[in-house]
Amino acid sequence: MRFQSRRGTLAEMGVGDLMGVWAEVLDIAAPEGGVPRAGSQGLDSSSAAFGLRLMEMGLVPGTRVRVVSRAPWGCPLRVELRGYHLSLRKDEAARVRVEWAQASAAVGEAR
Amino acid sequence: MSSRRWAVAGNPNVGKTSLFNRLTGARHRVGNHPGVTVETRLGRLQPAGDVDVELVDLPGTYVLTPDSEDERIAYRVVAGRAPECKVDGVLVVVDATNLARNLYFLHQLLELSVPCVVALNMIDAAEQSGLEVDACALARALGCPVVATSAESGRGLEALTRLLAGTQLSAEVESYVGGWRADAPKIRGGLDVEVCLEALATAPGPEKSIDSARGRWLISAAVAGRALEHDSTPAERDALAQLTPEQLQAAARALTIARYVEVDRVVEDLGLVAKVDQGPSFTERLMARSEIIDKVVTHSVAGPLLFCLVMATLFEAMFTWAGPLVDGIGDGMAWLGSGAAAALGEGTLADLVNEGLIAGVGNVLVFVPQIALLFLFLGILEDSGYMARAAFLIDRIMRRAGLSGRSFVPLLSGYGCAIPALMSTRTIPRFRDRLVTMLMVPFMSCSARLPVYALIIAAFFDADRPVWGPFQLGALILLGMYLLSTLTALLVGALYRKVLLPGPTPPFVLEMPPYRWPRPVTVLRHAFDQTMAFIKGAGSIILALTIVLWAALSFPRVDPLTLPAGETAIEHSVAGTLGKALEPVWTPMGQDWRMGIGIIGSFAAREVMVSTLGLVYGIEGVDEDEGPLRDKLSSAVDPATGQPRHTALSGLALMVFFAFAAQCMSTQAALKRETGGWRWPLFSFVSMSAIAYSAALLVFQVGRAMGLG
Repeated sequence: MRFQSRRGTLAEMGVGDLMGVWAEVLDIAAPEGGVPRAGSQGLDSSSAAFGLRLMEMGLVPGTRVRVVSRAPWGCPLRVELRGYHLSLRKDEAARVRVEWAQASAAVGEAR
Repeated sequence: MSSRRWAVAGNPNVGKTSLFNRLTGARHRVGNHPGVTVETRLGRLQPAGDVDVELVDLPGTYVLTPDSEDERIAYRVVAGRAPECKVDGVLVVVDATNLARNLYFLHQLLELSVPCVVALNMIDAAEQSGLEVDACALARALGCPVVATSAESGRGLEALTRLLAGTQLSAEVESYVGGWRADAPKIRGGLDVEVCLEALATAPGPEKSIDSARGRWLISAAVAGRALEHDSTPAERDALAQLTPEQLQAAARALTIARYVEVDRVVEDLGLVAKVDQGPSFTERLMARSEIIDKVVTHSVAGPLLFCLVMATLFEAMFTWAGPLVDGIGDGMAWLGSGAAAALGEGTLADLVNEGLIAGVGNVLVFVPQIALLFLFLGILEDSGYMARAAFLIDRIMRRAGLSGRSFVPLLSGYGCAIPALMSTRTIPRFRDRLVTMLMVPFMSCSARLPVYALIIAAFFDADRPVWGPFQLGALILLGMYLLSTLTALLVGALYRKVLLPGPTPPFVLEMPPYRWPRPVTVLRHAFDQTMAFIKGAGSIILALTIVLWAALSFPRVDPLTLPAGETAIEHSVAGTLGKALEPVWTPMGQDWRMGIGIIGSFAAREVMVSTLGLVYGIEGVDEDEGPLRDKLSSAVDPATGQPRHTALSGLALMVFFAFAAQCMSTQAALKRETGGWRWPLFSFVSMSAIAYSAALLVFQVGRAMGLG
């Protein structure tokens, strides 16, 4: 049994058998479409300000996080990190890049 | 006697309010800070000793780079930038079950070199879940006193009280508490941060140079949003302009990461880090019960159903349970009125006191039961933790209107009274989103509209007729009105969002606290404060307008005996003349000049419509449950055509008008306070009047064309 390190976003962690699996935060992805001028946007989910807020709530690189549940019809997600639960929409969770270990049964492979 | 003032700050959901209540006992008041649209709670430390200690309860905040109005207020006070509220230090309430994030906030405070005392709250809950936190070790690590407290059981409160009062600590209390450390923890962020701090420190300008603590805050504030606009000087902004957005963002990130590295180090030193393979983590144990409950509460099907049930109970409470209290107040006011009449006799003064003063006070007090009950209910939902889940469920719908689940609670409060609802929008971060929510609030059918609906339904519809099983026509129409107003609020919000105040949809990042039993003292205090907000915000205006209205309805005086049959004295008053003159306005929506006078009257307070109509129809001392007004309304016949003057259709049109009309001057005043000017209240008033009139017109004309009335 090998463990492979897989990378993706927190939004992907809320799907199927990835729910409940612990992942480690790599980074908060930069917003699409370049870097908006600092201070001009306030808190909308694609801005740098929002990225900072996510980090200030505890989603800094190295933090252990997992998706606990989803709301009906797909969003928002509920995640556990640093001792508490936080709810995030899917597009907001998609900014959090994470890495997790996935078991892959590789037949005949010795370790 | 010396005095001290401590601010009480902390993350939301840490039991800060409970602790504040326990420390101040029964004595607290709501203070108003000039220039800042906030009422913070102030209290005196109990038991009062030699030192007079005042506590200022600040809104809960996660970080010190503020984004919402609430957070801004908290920041200003703790940073010493609120001259009207200077504090000697900050009592930081920290949740022992959730240390990491709480410590982040604490570190930001310590960076500002603010004297701090830490209350390690919820220590009982922590120990029950198997978490042992050593307050002394934490105090040594942080460099400030830490007292383990539990607001529920009262543990640690005595030690905390003595600390805040600065009195000598006894030996056994000393064991709870570490010592002070003079220097602030140095959070290094690496090169990115140093570059920025250097640039800020050496920036040219007449002011003193920006020190590293202030510099750190400015860097984070520059990236975090609009904090800079309100809380920095032009010289500081110029200094920041030297740096590119990329540099600032890199520095802000580095600072945040560095703070958490420090926090993690402290947590690890305390031995609080759970090993991965040692069974369920502490958090899992704490949240286990909540997660089970949430399987139902946030379930795809059961969740929304439960939500509807909760809403239905809320309404039932407001309408039915408040009934006896409302009647009681009505009777009380009537008794007072007759007493005054007996004492003062006949004449203008007696009428002023009776129909102006006492009626005015009555108009305000009569809503207190409903409003208090609503806020009691909402307080229970909030304290138990359900409200966060409800916002979670409703977020999907709010996104369609361009808002987030955060707007949900203020809108819900609007069913009681718009004034506290407007105040509770302060937790919404961006002004645009806050404004749209505030413009939606008056559309939510507040409790003042209820007497009008009740009268019209009783007069023009066969209210008791069973329509579908146990449901009566009257109840269904009422429900319909509430649904109509809610739907309109959402549509209007969506429209304003797209056309008037465009912007990105606000994000929805909300903490889900563990479920807990609501604490009676906290909930009752909260309901009390919100009700007082209504009385203070609306009371004087309603009273003043009732007196003005009474004058408009009473003067010029005409002797009833000199009038031809069928005319009442009120027709010749100022308001009456106005009502008659405006008849061309009332007729297209199916009303006549008598209703017109009632509508004019209802601009003082909506429920005044009922008593005004009573005067118009020549009935004294009416209230909407009495037969006479109802019967007069339904049997009124137009002498010219022989047709009934009012029908079910015209009644419906009138209700629709009331649902949408912006008649509450107190709401406009509150809107002015919250938005800082008359522009938006004026817009609200004009737009709502236009919508009300058009809708009523539409209902009446279309209904007539369809042959319904």
